[in-house]
Amino acid sequence: MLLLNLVHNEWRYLLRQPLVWLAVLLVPVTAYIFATGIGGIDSIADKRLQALHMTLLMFCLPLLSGVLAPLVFLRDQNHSMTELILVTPLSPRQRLFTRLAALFLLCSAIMLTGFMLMWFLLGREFGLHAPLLAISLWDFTLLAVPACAFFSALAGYLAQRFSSNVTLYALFCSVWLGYLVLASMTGAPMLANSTISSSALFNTMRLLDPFGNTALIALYQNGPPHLYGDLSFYLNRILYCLLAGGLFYISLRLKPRGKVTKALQVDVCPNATQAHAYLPVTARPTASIQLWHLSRMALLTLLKQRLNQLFLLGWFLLIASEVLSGINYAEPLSVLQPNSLDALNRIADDVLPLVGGFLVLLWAWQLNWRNRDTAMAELIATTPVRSGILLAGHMLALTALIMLLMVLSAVACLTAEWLAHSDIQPGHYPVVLGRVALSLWLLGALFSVFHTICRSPLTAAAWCAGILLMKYTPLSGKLGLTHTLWNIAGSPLQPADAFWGAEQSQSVYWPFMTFWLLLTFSLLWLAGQWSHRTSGFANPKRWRLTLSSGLLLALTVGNGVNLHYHISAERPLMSSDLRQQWRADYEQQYAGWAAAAQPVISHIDAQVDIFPKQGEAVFGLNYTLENRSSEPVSKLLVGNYSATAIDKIELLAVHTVSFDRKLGQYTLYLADPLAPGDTLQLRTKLTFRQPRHWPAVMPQFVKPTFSYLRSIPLLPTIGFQVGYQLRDEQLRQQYGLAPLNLAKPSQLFATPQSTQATYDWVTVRSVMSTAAGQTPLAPGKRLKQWQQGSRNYAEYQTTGPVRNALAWYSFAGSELTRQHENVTLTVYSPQINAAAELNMLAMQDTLSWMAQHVVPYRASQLSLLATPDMDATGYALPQLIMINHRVGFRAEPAADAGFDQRYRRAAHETAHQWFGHDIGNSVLTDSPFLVEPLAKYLELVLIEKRYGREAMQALVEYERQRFKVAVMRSTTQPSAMVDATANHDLYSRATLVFAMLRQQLGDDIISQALRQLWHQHGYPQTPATSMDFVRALQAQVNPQQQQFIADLLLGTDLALLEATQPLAEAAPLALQQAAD
Amino acid sequence: MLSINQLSVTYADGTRALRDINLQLPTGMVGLLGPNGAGKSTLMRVLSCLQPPDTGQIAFAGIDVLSQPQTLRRQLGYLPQYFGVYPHMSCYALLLHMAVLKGINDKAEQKKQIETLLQLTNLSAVANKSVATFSGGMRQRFGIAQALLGNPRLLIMDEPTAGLDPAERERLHALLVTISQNKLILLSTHIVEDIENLCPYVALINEGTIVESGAVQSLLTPLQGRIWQSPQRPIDSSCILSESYRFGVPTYRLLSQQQPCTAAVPVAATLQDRYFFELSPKVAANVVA
Repeated sequence: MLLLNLVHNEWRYLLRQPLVWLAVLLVPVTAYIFATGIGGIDSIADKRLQALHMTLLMFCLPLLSGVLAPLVFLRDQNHSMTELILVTPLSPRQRLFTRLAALFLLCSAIMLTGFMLMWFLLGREFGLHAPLLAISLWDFTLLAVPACAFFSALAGYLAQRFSSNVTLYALFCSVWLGYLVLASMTGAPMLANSTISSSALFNTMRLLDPFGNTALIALYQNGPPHLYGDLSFYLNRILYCLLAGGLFYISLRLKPRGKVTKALQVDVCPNATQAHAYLPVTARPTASIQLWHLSRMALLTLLKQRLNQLFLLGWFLLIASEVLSGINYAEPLSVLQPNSLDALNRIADDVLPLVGGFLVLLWAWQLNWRNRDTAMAELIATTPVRSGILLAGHMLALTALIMLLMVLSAVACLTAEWLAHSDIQPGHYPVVLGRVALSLWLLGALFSVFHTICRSPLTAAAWCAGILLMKYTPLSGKLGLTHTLWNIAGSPLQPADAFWGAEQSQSVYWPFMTFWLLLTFSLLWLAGQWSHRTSGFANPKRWRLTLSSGLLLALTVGNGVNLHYHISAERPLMSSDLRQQWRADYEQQYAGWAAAAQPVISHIDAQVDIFPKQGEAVFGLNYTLENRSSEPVSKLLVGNYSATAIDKIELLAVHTVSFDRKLGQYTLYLADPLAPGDTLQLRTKLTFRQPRHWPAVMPQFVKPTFSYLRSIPLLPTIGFQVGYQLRDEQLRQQYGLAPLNLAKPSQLFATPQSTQATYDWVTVRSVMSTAAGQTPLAPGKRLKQWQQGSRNYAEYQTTGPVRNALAWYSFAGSELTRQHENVTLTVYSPQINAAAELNMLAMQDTLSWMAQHVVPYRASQLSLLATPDMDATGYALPQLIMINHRVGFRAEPAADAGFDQRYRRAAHETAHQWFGHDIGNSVLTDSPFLVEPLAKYLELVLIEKRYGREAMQALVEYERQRFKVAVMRSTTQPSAMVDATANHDLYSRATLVFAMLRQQLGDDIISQALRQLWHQHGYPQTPATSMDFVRALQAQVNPQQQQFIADLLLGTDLALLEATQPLAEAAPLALQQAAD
Repeated sequence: MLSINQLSVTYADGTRALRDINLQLPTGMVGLLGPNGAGKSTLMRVLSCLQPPDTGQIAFAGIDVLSQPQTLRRQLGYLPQYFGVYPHMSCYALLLHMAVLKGINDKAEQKKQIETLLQLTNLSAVANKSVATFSGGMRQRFGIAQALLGNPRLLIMDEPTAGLDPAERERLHALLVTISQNKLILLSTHIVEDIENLCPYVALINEGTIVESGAVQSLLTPLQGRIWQSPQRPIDSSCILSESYRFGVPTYRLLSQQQPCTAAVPVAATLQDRYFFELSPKVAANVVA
């Protein structure tokens, strides 16, 4: 009863603390943010709910316990009440127990609130069913309660061991970060890009995960989720309950380390010097001396603190280990010969800014509240030091600390480079680390501004936390704040790579940094005037704006408005919301055109002039439009979906024009309708200008080293573009669009000839020009090339129609050319090395196999280009293939790799010349089955042919592991292979499916089916659908094998893909049948 | 030297800490006397430019304090009632730090000042010890030393003798008296004896208002001849100014025109009598009546 009263008493104390209410508010807000992500109608509700619970626990509970720990356990010493509390008749055991119980109850209650909110939010989507509620309560009981008990006990234990608030905050922050790192290494589905880096670690974490997440995630691997745990899960939870008890027991035995200082006893001389010896002097405050002294003193004070010394040592080790662990990582099973850029890229975009940001936060806090914490604020505030000097002293100390951090980073990174035998290029260090340092300094300055202006540390902390949340978490995105300026004290600068350095985005850096510098200096200037001089006393008159600060602020606002104008003008549809709105408006405005007869583009004459240094490309286009419908065409819809407006539009026929400025669409009214079978010439001109306030992104950019201009979505289109429609039914509803109710391809194309789609293919002639020293490249055969003035020219012409997905390039580099039968194969790369030869080999092998087993390559030219390290690692367009330079040309197989990723990728992208640009991609409502999965099939065939069966099996095993992790992460119901759109299905599952098909049916049957597909659906016949392939394959085999095909391609049972025996040992179905 | 006009401070919760304070203070030592919560510390903080008033003006030696806080700070020494010290810093180092902040730039001058003040405050022996380990009295002496750094013309001290042993208290008194030439030392305390010992001029503050101010002698004159001391409690308790104990025996200080009881004997008026007189409206009303 006494204990209950004590706990109740503690509870009353907690309910009066603002920090507790902040936590009570923030955790449900976080739960809301997590739970309102896009789920989709295919979601597995209970799995998604459980994943949300796990996410909330791992993200919030350590921080929650850490924030509340000092409030609960260190409050006596924080508020000089230790003696008062110690003399009460409460025993230390009772005191610790009641505080621990209160913290546990509070954490549990907050977590339960979050869980219930998540249940409610998901319930709105899936229905507030009892099973979902049961999951919530089960998760709360077995996930949250033991975790809350453990973290409360840990807080109690640490508070007994360490008496400093900051130490507790730092320790819990480390626990939080450490767990996130471990979770990302054990394939936690809640973290993007997480993967199981070691199965031993994964199995260990099944037992040792404080949240029990890993043990549950392990059960997700095999298809339908089992949400209620297994033996290892229950062992894990029991272990953590015992650990909580153990920590409590140990805490009881520990003597608390309060701030007890031993009073100094000295003998004083009773006859001290007489008062007349006091010689007064005149004060002459000198700002520079004060500044130097203040900053030196602040710096030394911080450096003398053990916590900071520990952090700096930890920082060195963290940077060195982070660089060393992945300096030569190119991709799974593939390594690089690293250089300094690779080393710096390991840390410059995540570890340095993120962990550095938290350190800067800590230091800014320590510097700005030191006077208050040590109760010296009033002494300092009454000295004749200007507030601005006090602030400048803090900033100088912070600057020195950041510099020290960067020096440590450089030393750690260089050490790692030396150990990894990297190609050390010292010139990159000052540039990369200088940029990180500037961002950290800006952050630190903003933190200091809030600490200087806000009289309450809590208010200042809230502002700082807000900055960190906006900068480092997806909060801004969730709140719909997608403007690039929400990346506080940052810029959209992308990592430099070995291909073109920082060319991708270096133009964005200074415009953004100028703004942030101006803003920061303005705020620092204001803070100097509005400072509470660390004393925290109110000064109602301090909010006056002086002329100097007004001018600075006006300059900042002007600069910000100017920056915003450029950002918006260069990319009007900068956010997904704006793009969705555009698509919705487009459909609402022009959906009527879908039924209207429109001519198709049959030929394109393109004059493309690229100016790499100026960042411009000028297009002069002449379309031949052909009316292939049975009706006359009286009006044309011409437009594009791009920030690049059509400068000029000209139709070689009498017409009138109306222009929709908002959506960029022209309507051309023909005086004389275009009769069926007739053609018409449409001339347009447009200029692509490389945005200077945005990084270069696929699929269009013009940069001094490399330029790439894909026709989609840059070039004008004719008629209503179904591809622009929003496909997500929830989004359609949100924008007031009628539901599409699209059936899955397996149902939609269940019968032959069920599509009316036609091929959108064109012939193209391109006359290109670019700067001297660069190669202009376009689809088709190069007819001629010449130099005129200071520019290089070339003319290309396709020998026949190609899919209307064109691209034009300009680049400098070497080329490797081989004649393969009647096809000219070219590899363009900065250097022609062994990797270039390997890429060439993969192209040759693919062409040979396809020609031999399916159909030959249609064209006479195929080019493969090394591209900068952006987005996709490989991409194919008709007659043109792009391979990321980093993985395709710099990398080589790792020691434990069973196959060569470079060869695999080149073969895959070459295969898209058939799968994607010959068949596939022509029926919009079909899945990508004919594109990616069939290219994966070709990977298996070619790797086995070139490197042997073992290499092929290594690829299968690699994809099997990837697939397991992906299934673990997925919260959607599995779909049939032919209906699948998720990447893990299109790549990994497809590999497993085709490995089984090859094993059971053999390549002859598959290639026979493919030949049939080309025979029945090759251009210009009706395009093939995924189901056409299924039918063609089934047509080659007996009923038992047909069922096997149906199970694999049309079924959803993922257990079928579990190979219980090595593929080599499995008897083919045909042989088994014969034996039967 | 210090002129305060119509000074008012009201806190956010509505508490009126200072109400239209008007005060003219001369050079020398001035005592600010008042009970707990009277507004002494608020007034001290306002005078030290730590906290701006809502209304009013303050002038010190021709300086408009509120509009030129920086100018005042150059001439200010301040000892708050409660203060802390940086950890890991020796007494000497912390005084040096404060000296620089106060604008004492010359190294020789810094050294001379600090060493002198260490001697004056009897801290020379512990100059290199961490201030954080000092006892309460030593820390208070350190506070006094830092306040004296830079020869401030205005010295504001809130409870300077708190925590000092009798010998140190005497030493501080001597020091303050010695250095009070040509400067104003404002001493806030509720220990009347300190003010009586040190200050020729005093201001009494209660509930945010200056109830009386002036030379100590002039404040005592109206009470002279009317103060009685008695070991017995008089029947008419309305004349009791204060009740104190000596060796456990009660002693009453009484205010009356005539002898209030037979045991009462006339005594000289003290500042403490005046203090209680100002704080006891009932007694004051009686006397007036």
